[in-house]
This record gives sequence, structure tokens and C-alpha cells, in this order.
Amino acid sequence: MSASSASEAAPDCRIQTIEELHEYLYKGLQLEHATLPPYLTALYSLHPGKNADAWHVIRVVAVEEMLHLTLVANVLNAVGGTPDLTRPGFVPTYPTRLPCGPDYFEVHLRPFSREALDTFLKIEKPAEAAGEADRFVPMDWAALGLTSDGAAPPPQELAELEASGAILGLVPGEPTQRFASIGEFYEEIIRGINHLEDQARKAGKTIFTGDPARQVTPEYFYSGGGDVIKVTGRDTAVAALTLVAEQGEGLYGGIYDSQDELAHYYRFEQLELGRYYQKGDDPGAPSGPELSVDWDAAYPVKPDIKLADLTRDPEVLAAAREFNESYATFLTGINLAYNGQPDLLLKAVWEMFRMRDRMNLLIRNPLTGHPGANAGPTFEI
Amino acid sequence: MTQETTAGTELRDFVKFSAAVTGFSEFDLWGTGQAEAYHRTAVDQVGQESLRAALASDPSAAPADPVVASIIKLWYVGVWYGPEQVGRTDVAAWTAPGRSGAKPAVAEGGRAAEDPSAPPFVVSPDAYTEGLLWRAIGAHPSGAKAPGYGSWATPPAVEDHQETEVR
Repeated sequence: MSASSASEAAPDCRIQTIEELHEYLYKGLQLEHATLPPYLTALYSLHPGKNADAWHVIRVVAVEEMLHLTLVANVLNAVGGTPDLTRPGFVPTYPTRLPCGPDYFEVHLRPFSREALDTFLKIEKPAEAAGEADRFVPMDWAALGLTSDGAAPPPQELAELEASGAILGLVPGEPTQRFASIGEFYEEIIRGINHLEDQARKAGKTIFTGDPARQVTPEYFYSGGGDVIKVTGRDTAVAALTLVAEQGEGLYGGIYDSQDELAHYYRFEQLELGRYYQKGDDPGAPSGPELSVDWDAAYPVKPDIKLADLTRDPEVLAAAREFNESYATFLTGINLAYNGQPDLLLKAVWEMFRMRDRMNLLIRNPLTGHPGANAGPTFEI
Repeated sequence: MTQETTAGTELRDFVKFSAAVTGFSEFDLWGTGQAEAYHRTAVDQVGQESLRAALASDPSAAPADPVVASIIKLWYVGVWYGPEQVGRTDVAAWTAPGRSGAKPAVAEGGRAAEDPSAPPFVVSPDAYTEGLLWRAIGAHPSGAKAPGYGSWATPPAVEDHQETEVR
């Protein structure tokens, strides 16, 4: 993804008002978060003590998705918006759908497997260089099985689908179209910021009116892998959004991002190719140490598991409900952190450890009536 | 694991009985991720027949069948203490009435039968961190499974096991 420069004209910029920019950034929060349940389900499905390589790769990516969530929240706060991780539908019902060029693909909650890895590669896939005309794709509702004649669903249903996160990458406000890729979605946000900021400056104003105290700064973000960027103006906003895009797919076609982190797509590709990347490698040709993946050393979590699948196992059902409640509480806490109390993120760290433990308990329990399938967190919030 | 298979049924029976004798729920025991490893260890060490006999015993019996005592210790500390390491009196009590405990309470086929002096061993690296002991005392295993950066600034999260009826 290339960031637009401030001087570039944006005649067809979709974002024309600050409210539209806020809505785009909310969608960005929803999108970044939506990758976490699939990554965490796969991560904790790994048998204890096995698959150390896969464990580290997925864990690093998941932690960086949490960074992305925080970066998008910083941008939203900087432009005077209000992050809301508690809005109904913020957590999608899985499977959700993400755009990848001409096609949509489904993102399931699945145990670690070749299928799961294939999905992860699609989530992080570097965007094809799209011409201006190819940045948007008309929604094919029939292909998604949502309408029989291909026409858009009636307005109310459409609004519900859009809010539910069941289809990510739709053009906010114009859901008959969607972005060709997530990279294009962020490109549009950067264009919108540039356009609105140019307009504001002409009137002697700025769109960066947010209270700097609402920024999550590095002392509140406990993590390796990428630094939090405090967003106070156009440059830092573009830097934050560019980092979100390039940590996934690499910078300028390379395998590393600007902070010298191997991009997510290539991290996952290592598991597929059985070898680590090292500095100087070209995409697709890692030359580092070999790694091994034991595809069978994972608990067989029932894909896209729902509470309704657990009725024959009351203890599991109770624990799954409890997990969903604690996850909702956790999101409320993160939301407070993004709304002026960044120190709450430190407390959230050990809440994440507790959720890890709860997820592990669920995932290691076999299900009654579903031979060969285990329980897992349902993320029905 | 396919639950229709005999192996799957035996594993489930093992966990069900273990829940009764450890005081933790079946959910918690499966949740350790150690059920298969512990079941395999018990079979390897005492043999299928002795294990079946132990699982058929009354879970509330005191003193417990020595194999049962080994199973309880296994879940709590992740270490296999062979039943022959229980006092000879207990072994005698467990063997058929009238027998004076002249032979170890281990069936044919078990490894312990070959080497009754086998020392206790930790089943796997994860058996240590997954021991029920830690949850029972409201702690976490030292050096492993830490509760997270900064957790020391808040009161410990002690589980309330009073509400769980010990069967």
C-alpha cells in the first residue's frame, strides 16, 4: 500500500466528512479485532509442549494485531472520535468474510491446521497493485449466498449485516460496494485524512482535535513486536495506519516492515514452507533454519463452535458462557483504556493471561455427541 | 480421539473416575491437557487389568486402592508414584483379603512389575505446570504459567472450591 501524499488531489475521495472518517475508523477497529478470535483459537489448540515454531509464529502475529487495534484507536481519538468496542456486532459471528481481490473468503474459528494456515495467509496477503478503477468491487450478494438474485438485501437487512461484522471490507455508507483488499480500505482512510485535513487547514483549522491524554503511548503498551505510535497530527496518523498495513503484508513488496519486523504473511509462510526467513531473503524463498510443524498435534476444536453445540456437556457450556461474559467485560475494559484511561491496558495484560487459561480449558475438553471434536471459545458476545 | 472407540471410552472412564477421587471436575481435568498422557502412564505402569480394577473400586474408599492413590498424586503433582511405593500394609489391604501382602499389588504386564523399585518420575514438562496442586492452593507453578505482567499489584485470584461439591 502506498500512502497518498498531502498534495495529491482526491477528487473521488469517499470520506467527505469527519463523521464518515470516524465510521471508517470504527470499521478498522472491528476488522483488526476480528482476526484475534481465529488466531487465538488456532494458537491455543496446539498441544502443550508441541509445535513450538507454530506457537511462536501465531502468538507474535496475534500480539501485533492487538497493536493494530490500539493504533487505529489512537488515530480515531486523534481526530476527535470515540472508540466503541462494545457496540452490538463489534465481535462478528463466525465465520465472517474478508475481501481478497475479486473474491471473498470465509474466516472460521478453527484449530491449527493447513486450512487455518491457508486462511491466515489470505488475511495477511499482500494486496495486488490495483488501478484506481479496481480499488472497489461491486458486492456480489448471490456469491455469498445472501440473496438469490444478486441484488443487495433490503436496507434494514443490509444495515444489520454491515453492523454485524459478518462481511468485512464493505464501503461504509455504500455497502453495495466493497474494497478490493484491506490495504485499499486503509488507503482510503489515509486519503480521507489528507482530504479533510487539507480542507480544515484552508479554514485555519485542523481535524486533529482529540485530547492527547486519550492516546495510548508506549509506557502503557506491554509488548514486543512493533511500537505504539502517539497520534497527534497528519504525519503520525499516516505512520500509524501505514504500520498497520505493512506489518501484515510487508513494505514495498519486501518481507520486512519499516520497524524491521518480518511481515505477518511471511511469518505464516514459514510454517507452510518449513523454513525461517532471514535478512536478505526474497518473498517465497526463505533461507534460514528449518522448522518443523506437527499438523496433528492440535486439539480438534469444532469449527465455528457455538454455545448450541455444548448442550450435552453442561460443565463445558457453563465455562463457555463464562468465557464469553469475561471476554465482553475484557472488551469493556479495553474500551475504557481507549477512552481516556490508558493505564487500564496494563491491567488488561494479566486479564489476557486469565483468558488464555480459560480458552485452554475449553479447547482441551472433548465434546459429547460430536465424535472427534473438542470444545472451544465461541466468542458469542 | 473418537469417543465411540474402546480406547476413547476407557480414557473417558479414567477421567470420570479421576474427577471423583481428585475433587476437581471432569472439565478441569480435561482442561489440563494431560488426560491422555496420564491414562497412558497408568496403563504402562500398572497394566490394563490393575487399572480397570482400580477404576471399578469405590472412589470414596479409605484408604484408597494404591493404584487410586497413585492416580490422585499424578493429577495433583504430575508425578507418577508407583503403587508399590505406598506402604506395604496398604498394598496388603488392597490385595485380596486373606493374602498377607506377599507380592506387590501390580498386575502382569505393568512396568512396575518388572522393576518395583522404579523411582517416581514427572510425566511431561507440562504435567508440572498443569498439576491440580497449584489451583488447589491458589497459586501458579513457580517459573511457569505466570499470571502476567503486573498481576502482583492485585490481590491473588483464589478460586472458591467450596461451591463445588466433592463427590
